[in-house]
Amino acid sequence: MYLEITSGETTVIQWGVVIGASLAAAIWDLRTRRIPNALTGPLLAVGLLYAGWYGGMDALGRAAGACALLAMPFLLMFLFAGGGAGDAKFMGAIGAWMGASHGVIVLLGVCMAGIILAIAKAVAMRRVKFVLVSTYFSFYTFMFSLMGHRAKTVSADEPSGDDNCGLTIPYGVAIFAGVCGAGVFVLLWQG
Amino acid sequence: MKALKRFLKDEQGTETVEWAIIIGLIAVASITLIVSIGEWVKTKFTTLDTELAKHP
Repeated sequence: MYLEITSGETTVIQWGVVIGASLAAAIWDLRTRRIPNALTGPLLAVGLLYAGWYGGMDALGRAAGACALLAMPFLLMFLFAGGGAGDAKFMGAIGAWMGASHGVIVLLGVCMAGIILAIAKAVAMRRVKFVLVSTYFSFYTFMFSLMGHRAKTVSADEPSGDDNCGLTIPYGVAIFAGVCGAGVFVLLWQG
Repeated sequence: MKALKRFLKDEQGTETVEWAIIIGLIAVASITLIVSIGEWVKTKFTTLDTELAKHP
């Protein structure tokens, strides 16, 4: 493990903060189905300050870029598919702490954990076929929206997926699992 | 502006299983593509650099 911030490496402190915050977000999400701004806001602000303090403006710029990179897929989901903004903002905050190189590994880990959690829920609810067909049609709707057609907008008081006979997962759990997986990967394969 | 306000206010931490699968597949495919292109561009620039060094 590295004890100083350099261009592509993260410290034990950074991993510790991100894993701790992800655990808190997972517990919060399981209980309330929300990732509160009270957790995300300070995490983002301190992450940017930490990068700026130890690495100067260059590191601050990299942290801001990584924040945008990790939040982008979830921001698209929020804008075009009615996904949760809590996930997007929390992933952005993780990006600010991790930087781009390890942030990409975290993003991969989170996305893969999300797929596993989603399939596990579908299997547990015995609705695998429904989910696969629904995923196929949802993908085409998403691409249609991305290509400049009418984007789906969901109001805050619109019922959630479970109320619409769909299945939802607390994505905070996937984020925590993905962060832990990425941490293990970095520790074992990258020193 | 309305979307930004909604984004800042919203704390929802759930995704539907369909979108969790789609976002996962899109992210994995995009990162794989970017990494592949990055390697290809790096190789091209290295080759170019080597060729330029041969003909000062």
